[in-house]
Amino acid sequence: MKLNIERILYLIWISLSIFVIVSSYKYGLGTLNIPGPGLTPFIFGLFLLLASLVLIIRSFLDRFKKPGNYEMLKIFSLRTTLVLTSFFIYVLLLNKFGFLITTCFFLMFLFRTMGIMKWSKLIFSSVLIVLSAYFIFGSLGVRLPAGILKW
Amino acid sequence: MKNRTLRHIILITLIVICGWFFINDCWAAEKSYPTRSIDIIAGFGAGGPSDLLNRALAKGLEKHLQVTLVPVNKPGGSGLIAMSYLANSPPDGYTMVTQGMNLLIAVLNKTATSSLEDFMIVGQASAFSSVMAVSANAPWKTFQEFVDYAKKNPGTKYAHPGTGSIIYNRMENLNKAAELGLIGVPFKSDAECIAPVMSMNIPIGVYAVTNPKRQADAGKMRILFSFDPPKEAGLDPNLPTINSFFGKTIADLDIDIPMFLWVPAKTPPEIVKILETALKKVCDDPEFAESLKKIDLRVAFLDSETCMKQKLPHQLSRMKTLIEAASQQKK
Amino acid sequence: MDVLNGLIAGFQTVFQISNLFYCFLGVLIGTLIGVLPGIGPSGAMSILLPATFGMTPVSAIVMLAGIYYGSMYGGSTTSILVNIPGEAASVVTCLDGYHMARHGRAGPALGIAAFGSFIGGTLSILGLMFLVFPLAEAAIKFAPPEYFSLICMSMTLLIYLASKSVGKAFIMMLLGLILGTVGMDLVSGSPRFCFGYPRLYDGIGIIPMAMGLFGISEVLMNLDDNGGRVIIKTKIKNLLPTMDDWKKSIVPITRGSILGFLLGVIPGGGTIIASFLSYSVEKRFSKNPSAFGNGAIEGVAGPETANNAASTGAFVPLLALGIPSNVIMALLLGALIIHGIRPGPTLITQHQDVFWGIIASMYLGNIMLLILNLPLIGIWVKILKIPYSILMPLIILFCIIGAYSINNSVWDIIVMFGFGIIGYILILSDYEPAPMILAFILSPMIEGAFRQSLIMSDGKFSIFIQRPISATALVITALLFFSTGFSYYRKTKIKIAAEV
Repeated sequence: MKLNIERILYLIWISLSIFVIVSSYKYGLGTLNIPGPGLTPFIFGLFLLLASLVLIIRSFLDRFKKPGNYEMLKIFSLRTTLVLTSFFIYVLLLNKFGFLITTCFFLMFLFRTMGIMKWSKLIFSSVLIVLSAYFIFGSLGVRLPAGILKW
Repeated sequence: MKNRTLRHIILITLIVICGWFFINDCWAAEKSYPTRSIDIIAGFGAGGPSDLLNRALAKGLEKHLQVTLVPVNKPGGSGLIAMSYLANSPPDGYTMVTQGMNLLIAVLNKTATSSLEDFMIVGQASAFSSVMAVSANAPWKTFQEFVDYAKKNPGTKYAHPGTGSIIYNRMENLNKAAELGLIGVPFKSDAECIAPVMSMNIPIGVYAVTNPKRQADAGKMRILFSFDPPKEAGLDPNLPTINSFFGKTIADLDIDIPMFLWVPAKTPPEIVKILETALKKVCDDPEFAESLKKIDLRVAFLDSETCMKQKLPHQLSRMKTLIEAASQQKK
Repeated sequence: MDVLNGLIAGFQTVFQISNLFYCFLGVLIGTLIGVLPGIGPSGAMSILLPATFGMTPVSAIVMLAGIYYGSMYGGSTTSILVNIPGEAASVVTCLDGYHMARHGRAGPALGIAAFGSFIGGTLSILGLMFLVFPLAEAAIKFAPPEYFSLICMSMTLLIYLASKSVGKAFIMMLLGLILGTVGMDLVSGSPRFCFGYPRLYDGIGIIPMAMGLFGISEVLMNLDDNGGRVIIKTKIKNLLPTMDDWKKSIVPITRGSILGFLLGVIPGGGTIIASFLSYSVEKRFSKNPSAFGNGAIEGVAGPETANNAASTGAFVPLLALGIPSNVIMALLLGALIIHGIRPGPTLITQHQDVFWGIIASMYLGNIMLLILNLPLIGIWVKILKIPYSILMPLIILFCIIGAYSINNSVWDIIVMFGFGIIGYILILSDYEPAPMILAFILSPMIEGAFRQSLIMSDGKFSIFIQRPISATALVITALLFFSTGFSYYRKTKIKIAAEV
C-alpha cells in the first residue's frame, strides 16, 4: 500500500474524527430534542469519519486513480523548512526580546534565505524596515511588544 | 563607507538607545506613585455598558490621580481574558480592570484559569441594575399579570445573555426561589435579547437596565420589574422590586451585580490605598454621577475592605448554592 | 418627515468644512485599515473613539461610519494582490481576484472591486433612506428558527465555493464545522475542545485563520515555485475593467447589492456571509461555472458589491431601533451614547440632523472612496513588480503585525502560522480552504440557532415548519440540495460513461 501524502491525510482525518467523537461523547450528548454540548461535534465527527473512510477506500480502487505523486520531500524543501523553523523560533522569542530585535533578526534571516547575501544590505534594510513599521503602526495605535526594551 | 564601519555605527546606536531607556526607567521609579499613565481595562467590547463604565471611570480617576488613564478593551472569554491579563501584569498599580463577578462564576463553574487569590479589589464603583421587560404589544401590563400567567403556564420562556452571565444566575436565583417555572433561552449578549422579546417571539427578557429603558422610552417595550430600587436607575419608582413583590425572605437571597476595580493581589497596600481614596473621590464627584446617568448606571461606592471581607464571600456562597442546585437539576 | 427635505438638510450639514474633513479622514483610515490585514474596522474605531470626544456628534459618527464602509473598499486590495484577505469579508475575493492578478489582470480586478463597492454602497443607501422603518420591523421578526433555516440554505450553497474535488470539499466543510465548535458552548456554558486555554473560549479567531490559510500558505507555496505559482510576469494590460468585464459584471453587481443589503439588515447576518453567498449565487446561476476559481471577474464583482451593501444595511436596525446587528454597530451605539444621543426608535425623529447627516455623509463617503481607490490601482499594481525575494519577507512582516494587532497578542500570530502550515499542506493535496472557512463561520451560528429554537419549542422540531419564513427557507434549501445533487449525479454519470 503506497503511503503518499493523500493517504496520510485521510488517516489523519480518520483519527481526528475518532478523537472528536470520543470527546463529544464525554461532553454529554443529551437527546435529539434537548441537545447537550457534545451532540453537534459528535454528528460532525461521525460524518467526517464516514467521508474519510469512503475516500480512502476509493483511493485504492483503480477507477478513481488521479495523477500526482505528492512526495513528502517536495513539500518540505530546504527553503520551506528554513522559513518555517525560523518562524517558529521567532514566535517563541517575540514576547521575550520584543518586536524590534526579534523581527530584525527574523527579517535578515528571511532575506538571506531568499538569496540576498550582502551583510550591509541585510542589516541596513532590516533595521530600517523594522523601525519604520514600529513607528507607523505605533501611530495607528498598535503597541508592538516591547520586550526587554521597555518604555 | 565600509561594511564594518556601518555595522559598528548601528551597533553603537542601538546600545545608546537601550541605555537611555534604562536610565529613564530607573529615574522614573524614584518618584511616588503614580508617575506615568495607567491602563484601565474593560473585559468586554467597546460600546457596551462595561466599556462605557470603564471610560467614565478613566475620566473620573484622571482628575484625582493627575495622570492619564488609558481605557483598553480586552474582550474575550466573558471577561476572563482581561482577568488573566491582569494576573500576569506587574503588581505596580499601573494596570487595573473594571469588572464584575465574572471570575467568580468561572471559578464556580470550573472554567477559570486564575484564582480569586490572584486579585485584590480596590473598591466597588457601581452596580448594574437589572430589570425584566416585555414587548409593548404584550398582553401583560403589570408584573403581577405576568407572574399569574407564568404560574399557569409552566415552562414560559425568557431571554438572557448567556448561561455564564451574572444576570442569568440572578434570574435563576429568583426563578427557583419564587417558583416561577420559567425556562431561559440563551443569547450571546444583552443587545441580542431585545429583538426576540420586542417581536414577541419570546415572552419576556431579563436585562441590564440600559437597553430596555431606551426601548421603553420610545414605546416599544415595557419594563415590568426591577431587581434593584428603581428610582436609582431612573425608572418609575412604582415598579415592583424583589422586596416589594416577593418579600424579605426571597429578597435576602438576591445577588446584585457590582462592578469592582481589580488589581493584582501583590500590589503594595499603599498603592491600593491611593487608588481607593481616588475611587471614593470619583464616586462623590457629581460629574461622574452625571456621566453614569447618561448610561443608566448608578454610583455605588464600597471600600476595599467591605468588598474583600464581606461582599466577595457573600456573593461566593450565594452563587455556589445556586450553581450547585443547577447542576443537581441537570442530573 | 419628508425624504427630500431631510436629504437636503443632511447635505447642508455634511458640507460644513469640519464634517467634510472628518468624513474624508474616516474613509481614508478605513481604506488603510482594510488594506492592512489583521486589524479591522472595529479595532481602529475603538482606538479612535476617545479622539471623537471633542467633536460634534455628527462629525464623530460620520468619521466612525466612514472607517467601517471604507474598510470594505480596501479589504479587496491585498486579497487580489497577494492572496491575503484584508478582512474576513474579502476572503472570497481571493478565489478569483488573486488568479486574475497572477495573469496580469490585477488592474481590472481592483477596478471592478472599487466600482462594485461604490454601486453596492450607493444603492443600499437608497434602501436605508426609504425603507429603514419597514425593513427594521421585518428584521426583528427573525428569531432563532428563521436563522436556522436561513443558514441551512447558505450551507447548501457552500459546495459552490469549491472548484475541484467535491469529496475533499466536503471534508473541508466538515473540518470547518468541527473547528467552529471549539469554544464555550452557548447553551451550557461549558468549554469544548479548549484544553484549558482561555483564549480558545471564544473560539479560534477567524482573521488569523483566514490570513494563515490563504496568505501564509500562498507565501510558502511561492518559495519554490511549486506548481507554477510564480506571479506571472505578463505585461499588465489595462488598468481598468474592459467593456467585456463590465458586461459580465453588471448582473452580479445588481444581485450583490440587493443580496448584500438584505443580509446586512438581518441582525447577525453580516458582510462575511453576504460575500460568500454572493459568490455561491453567482456561480450557481452562471452560464459558465467552471470559470469560477480561475479568474472569473464575476467572482470579484458580486462579493465586493455584496459586502459593501451589507455594511450599509447593518445601519438599518441601529438607526431605526437602536439594536446593533454586529460588534461594529455596538461600537457605534456606544459612540452615540457618549455623545449624548439616545439611540433607539426616537433617534430618527428626535435627531433628524444626525440621521440625515449620516446618510448624506455615506453618499459623499462612497464618492470619496471611489476617487481615492481608483488612482491607487496604479500604485498597487506597481507593487506586484517588486522582486519576490524582497516582497516575500515584507509580506510575512505585514501578516505578523496584522495578526498581532487584532488583540495585541502573540497567540494570533501562532494561530495564523499554524493554519499557514495546514493550509500549505492541504492546498498542495488539492483541498480548498474556502469551504472550510465558511463552514467554520456558520457552525456556531447554525448550532446556536438550532438549540435556541429547540429550547423555545420545548424540544419539538415542528417549530421550524410552523413558522412561515422558516418553512419557506427550508423548502428552498431542499430544492437547492436536490437540484445540486441531481446535477452532480448527472455529471458523474456522463464522466463515467465517457471513461468506459
